Amino acid sequence: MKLRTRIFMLGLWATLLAAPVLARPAVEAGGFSLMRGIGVAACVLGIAGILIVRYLGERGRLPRGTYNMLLLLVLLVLPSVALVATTQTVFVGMKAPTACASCHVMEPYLEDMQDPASASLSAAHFRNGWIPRDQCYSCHVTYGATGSLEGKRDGARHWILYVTGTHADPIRYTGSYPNINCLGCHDGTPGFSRVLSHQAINEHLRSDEMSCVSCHGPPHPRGEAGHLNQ
Amino acid sequence: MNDSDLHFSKWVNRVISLASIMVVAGLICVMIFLIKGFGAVSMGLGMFIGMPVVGAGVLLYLAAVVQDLRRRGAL
Repeated sequence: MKLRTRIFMLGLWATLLAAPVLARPAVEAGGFSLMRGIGVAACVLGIAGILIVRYLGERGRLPRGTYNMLLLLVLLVLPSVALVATTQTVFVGMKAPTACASCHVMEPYLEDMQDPASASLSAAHFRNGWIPRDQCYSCHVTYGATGSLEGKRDGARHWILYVTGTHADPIRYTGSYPNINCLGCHDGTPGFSRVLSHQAINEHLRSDEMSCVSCHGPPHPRGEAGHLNQ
Repeated sequence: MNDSDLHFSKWVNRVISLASIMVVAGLICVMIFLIKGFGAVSMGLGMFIGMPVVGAGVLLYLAAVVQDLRRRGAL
């Protein structure tokens, strides 16, 4: 068997053996997806491949053409596969409320949303099935992967505050909340249009001069985290 | 075909070494995120550190390839 074939076979077996073991916690957590598995496999194969190819290449044990082709594979193809798979995993996974609740400061807000007795807007939307899934993401689209630059900036700032433990507890929302997050679903519906005050202030709502939550809300618990304090 | 045609220049070799280190380090961070799932630290490690480092490593490798092809007169 040629050396090139041996290296490919070694990489293949390493990936086949390592990927299920490494992906096991994700499977047990119920968060496994095909792209996530592909991402893990690409990472394992990429890391092992770079180490093996560089080691053999530096010692002249690989023909130059083979070395160049293997470098292309381990330094361009596999990392690109890993990046695409990771991006896909993030795009899908971050929409789930559990992704938001992975930071413990958000847990009270998720619990409130799922509380049948809560009077908050988020709980009403959840309880009545107005947003059947991806409940956090649906109302906070400026905060997600496809959100605005302001949302990105706030997201990075919130992450830094959280991991450094320098955030105030309970947390308070200080950013702007564009009405398009509400109007995206409500605008133009019969229920929205038949309310006279909506017709009167429609332009103000569209231009964010007035906020929807000025009249409706609160969207989440206020005051002490976990306890609705109106 | 002389010896220099068969081997990378010193600059290209150094850049490929640096790219290899960056891609390995970045892929480790990305893999930790993929295995651990969504969490403040794992997400930051994978998204804010791992992915940019892998991306920079890949770009460095491409720069080395372009430089090598230019040296050989292929570009």
